[in-house]
Amino acid sequence: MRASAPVILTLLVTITSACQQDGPAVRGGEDGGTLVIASGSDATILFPPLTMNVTSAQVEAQIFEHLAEPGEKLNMIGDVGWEGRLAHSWSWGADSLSIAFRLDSMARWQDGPPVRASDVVFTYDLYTDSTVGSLVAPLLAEIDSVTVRDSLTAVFWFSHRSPEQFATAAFQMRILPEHLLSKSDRKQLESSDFARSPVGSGPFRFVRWVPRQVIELEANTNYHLGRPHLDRVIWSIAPDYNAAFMRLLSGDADMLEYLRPGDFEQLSKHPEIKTVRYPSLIYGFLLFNERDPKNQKRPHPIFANRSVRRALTMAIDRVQLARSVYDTLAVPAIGPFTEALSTYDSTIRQIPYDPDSAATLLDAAGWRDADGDGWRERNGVPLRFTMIVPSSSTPRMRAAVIMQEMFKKVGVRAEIEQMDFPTHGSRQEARRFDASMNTMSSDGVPSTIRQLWSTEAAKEGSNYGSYESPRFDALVDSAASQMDPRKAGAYYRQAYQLLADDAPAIWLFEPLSYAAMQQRIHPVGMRANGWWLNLKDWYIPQGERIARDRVGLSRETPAGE
Amino acid sequence: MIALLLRRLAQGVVIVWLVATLTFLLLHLAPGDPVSATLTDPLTPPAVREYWIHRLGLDLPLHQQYWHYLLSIAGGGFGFSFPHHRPVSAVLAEALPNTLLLMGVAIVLAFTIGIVLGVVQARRKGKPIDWGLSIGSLFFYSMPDFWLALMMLLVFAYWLRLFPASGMFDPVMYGLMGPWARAVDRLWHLVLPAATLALLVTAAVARFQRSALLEVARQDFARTARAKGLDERAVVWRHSLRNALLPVITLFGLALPALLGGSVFVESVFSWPGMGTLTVNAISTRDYQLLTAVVIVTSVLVVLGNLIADLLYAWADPRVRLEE
Amino acid sequence: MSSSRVAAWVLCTVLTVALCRWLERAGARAGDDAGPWRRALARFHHDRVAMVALWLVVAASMVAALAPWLAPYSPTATPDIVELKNLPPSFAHFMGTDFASRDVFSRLLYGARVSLSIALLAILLSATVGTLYGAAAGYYGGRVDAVMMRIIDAALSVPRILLLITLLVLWGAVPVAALIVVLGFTGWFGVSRLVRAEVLALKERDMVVAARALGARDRDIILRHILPNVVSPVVVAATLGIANVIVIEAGLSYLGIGVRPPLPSWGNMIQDGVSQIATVWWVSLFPGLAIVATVMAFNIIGDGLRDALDPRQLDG
Repeated sequence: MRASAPVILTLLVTITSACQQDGPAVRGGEDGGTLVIASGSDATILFPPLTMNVTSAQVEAQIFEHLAEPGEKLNMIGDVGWEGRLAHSWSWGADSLSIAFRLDSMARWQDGPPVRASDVVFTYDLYTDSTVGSLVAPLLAEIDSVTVRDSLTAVFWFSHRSPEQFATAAFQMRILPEHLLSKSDRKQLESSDFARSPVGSGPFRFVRWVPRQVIELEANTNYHLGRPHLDRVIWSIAPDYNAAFMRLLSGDADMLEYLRPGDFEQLSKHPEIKTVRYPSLIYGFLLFNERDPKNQKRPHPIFANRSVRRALTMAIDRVQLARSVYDTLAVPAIGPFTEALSTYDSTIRQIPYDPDSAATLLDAAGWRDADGDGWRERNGVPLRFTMIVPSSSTPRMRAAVIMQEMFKKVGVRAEIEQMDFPTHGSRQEARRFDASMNTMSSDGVPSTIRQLWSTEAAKEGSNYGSYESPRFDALVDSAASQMDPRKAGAYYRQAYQLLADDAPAIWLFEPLSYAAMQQRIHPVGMRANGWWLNLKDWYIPQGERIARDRVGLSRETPAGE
Repeated sequence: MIALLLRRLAQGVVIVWLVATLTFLLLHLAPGDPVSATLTDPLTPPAVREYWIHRLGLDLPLHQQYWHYLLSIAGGGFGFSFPHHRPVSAVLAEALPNTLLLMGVAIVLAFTIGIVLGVVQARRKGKPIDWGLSIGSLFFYSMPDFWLALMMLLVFAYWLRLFPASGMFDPVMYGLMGPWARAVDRLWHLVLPAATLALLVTAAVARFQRSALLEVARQDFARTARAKGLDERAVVWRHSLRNALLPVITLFGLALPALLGGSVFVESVFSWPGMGTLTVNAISTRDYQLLTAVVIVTSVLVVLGNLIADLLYAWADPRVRLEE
Repeated sequence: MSSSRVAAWVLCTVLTVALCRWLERAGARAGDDAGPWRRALARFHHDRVAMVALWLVVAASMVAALAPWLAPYSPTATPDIVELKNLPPSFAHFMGTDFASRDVFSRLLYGARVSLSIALLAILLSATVGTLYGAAAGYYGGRVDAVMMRIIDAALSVPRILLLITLLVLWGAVPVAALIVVLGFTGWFGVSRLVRAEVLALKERDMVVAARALGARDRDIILRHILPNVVSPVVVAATLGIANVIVIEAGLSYLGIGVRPPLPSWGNMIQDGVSQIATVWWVSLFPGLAIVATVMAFNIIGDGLRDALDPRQLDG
């Protein structure tokens, strides 16, 4: 189970998998087969406005549709490269303050009725209704209103132009059926039957959900863009990673979305299982708290000093650390982003690994080992701090143990405080920590960097380390208002360089994501923001099928347990 | 007897209330809350957080929360689980039968086999069979439960592939099976977790039973019986066993919580969708409502188990009457 | 191997042998006039399995005490996290190394120290509290007993592991001292119940009835007639308890909430290897074996003591 789940998945810009591009299957000939996904966690709900769980998002993405999806080329500014889904085309208003989406006339709800523009209006209304309490509502703020032009055309109106307005309209909401939901009590939606046996317009339709055991979907043969290749997709839920891994090895499951470093050796004994790399948005770092955890008004006695932070960064051999914790499954991170992000820049100048310079810098900052016990101190106060680490994350725990030793070599005493994941989260939120081992899953939107490192976010938001730099704020503001991707990139580059130089955190590693699957499964288009987003294109060749692939479609599906 | 039973039940209610109150305090004194534990993404807008905190009543003063909490327990609804998006009672209603099934099978197996083994050992004290069984049961008794579960999983599910690794039924084929095949499939999935749990308890029961019998054998009435010329078999079966059941009855009371505790590990290793896995989940998501409900339901089960143990105790030992 | 470490190993062996021999001889020499513990040792002397277990426990304790001088490497140092990690057992590291290139054998020695002392201290706490509580409840009976037992019922109605998980998870990682206290104070309910049951039965015994009829004071009756007779169940329970605490510590560490790294305990050493148990098996196997062996030894000694310590058996 991944420690930090990408929760608001919908805003994401997509990156095409460059690693595993199977040729597209011959339509019709390769239809059929069952994919069993060993999943580390159950879904919590199957109702997109309230989803905050990865498994839920995976299932919903098959049942419900966006108006459009970003295409192969990574772009979120404007609509270049976007592909229609529920909408087959769109047109901009002359002043760019409105976008009209023309729905695919073939689109049908899975219970029969056609999808209409009024469904889009209804969906917007539901997402922004405060009694629903949707997580996505605040992200829709730039939409003024949504109106019906004709039965198949929905128009989004905006109060002002912004680079990301198209993505907001097309990609934030999964369109919901008005005819099934209009009579529901909005406050009770989350415990309604619909939220546990949903009906959408997507490539797969819901069959059954036995909580904490299995979720089953079946191909929607009436899907307006052509039926998906697979007959059935089943999430086989095992709350324990080892159990999920066993299900894969024993052949009970076809796929496991996430592999740990040690698993590869074991998989090498299983020629029937292959590993598939897909792009990822996850990176790890050791966050410094620049404010005193005991008194927010005071600067942190150690980390408020930029050159001390730089010295501590120099003390860590990041190349070796990444190799040791992840083997070849991670590369050192160079900032708060990964290779899959559109604004990634490999030329950001890094603070080198240099323990000698680290020692010199610490000496200069007044931290010296005066009493010769191997630990540095200043005015009798030892150079000692605590790293908080969530115990649920083995890699972070291991990295912490190794870093502890690296710090020791330059006379810095780092202690480890293990805690469970929620406690770690609330300690960060309360700013009660010296340093924190953290991983972050970027949502793929470059401008969210503002919510993590800006001065504004230091006070109330998610800038838990209270890094404050007016120059950084200005650079990100400039970047986020550019309508031209090139110009935006240039500003982001400067902002990233500033973060690398100021060292508000030690950027540790960027784990590479690998899925394991049976050889007969042919994945297509795994994306950084969700390997599951193109599940409708996955296929199992005729000649490689096993018993469960031949079950076929059932008109009468077995009822749930 | 009925009045006594009623009094015992009233005491049970007090116990459960004590447990409920303590759990409530524990959970609320600790750092962390269900909203921030569920909305883990730091990018979640603060307004959404506040909305849910308010809607779940987590911004109320503690005594009001406590009052709502007691009312919801009394109503049997246990409130609403935020991470599950459902009433707690609905979540529990799915998990409890699964755990009871697992435990029921394990208890029956463990106590039957354990008592028989204990008797065999006591009758052949010092013989190779006693020695062998002692070492055998010690071996399992000395294993960490998660370790045993992992080993069973590795050996029987992975290396030998005799039994499925996890779950309660085949996720793919179950829906297509006939009633017989379904029953077999369920049984097949039950074997490993039930056997693991039973192994752990059998070892304890056998050890306990053996030493209890040996203890009783030394006591006066057994010697008297022996002196009267009864043969050893009659001494064991007719006189000693009944007295030696006393500690086993105590063990039954003690074994229930141990079983429920052991099921936390066994269920999580075998992905058995019962109370144990639910607990681990509820703890990591700070699901107050669910966690308190799990603790309360667990304590209700144990209180009932102890009541049964007490009644059995009174039946088995005429010298000890309930409450004199 | 440095000469000082050789000396430490020799010392450790000599001490173990000497102590065990001394215990054996003390048992062998015990006459009819010897005290109950001496007589217990005498019976022990004839039980070969128990003797092996005793040797094992003594050796483990010695190793735990002398760990810093015995260990070939530092238990926390990570000499080369790339080249020396996950090495299989070899001459240089005969239990291999773990993910951070730490020597498993050295960690095992230090782990003995941590795991055994945690278990011992926790069980001392539990046994004391449990015996006093149970004896009082059983002896006074009636209303006092009823109230005291309801409290025990409430405490026992929540599985210990659930209680521990809840406490430890909610308050984050606690220092070892707090872990011991938490383990100790969640472990005495069972003991007190056993003691109480024993006392209930004892109360009906002739000697107690007689003593009471003769007007002896409660305190004297408890101290002279009751407590000596509950020693055997308490010792047995405490021995099982030590075993149990070692196992529970392992379980808590499996869940990541036990002894805090980098301090090695047998439990968190297993956890270090669980995620790659099929390939880097030595990291989890050796501490696992250490647990099973030690726990078995404690259980065997408990059994042996039960057979030996019971004074009623001697006249039988």
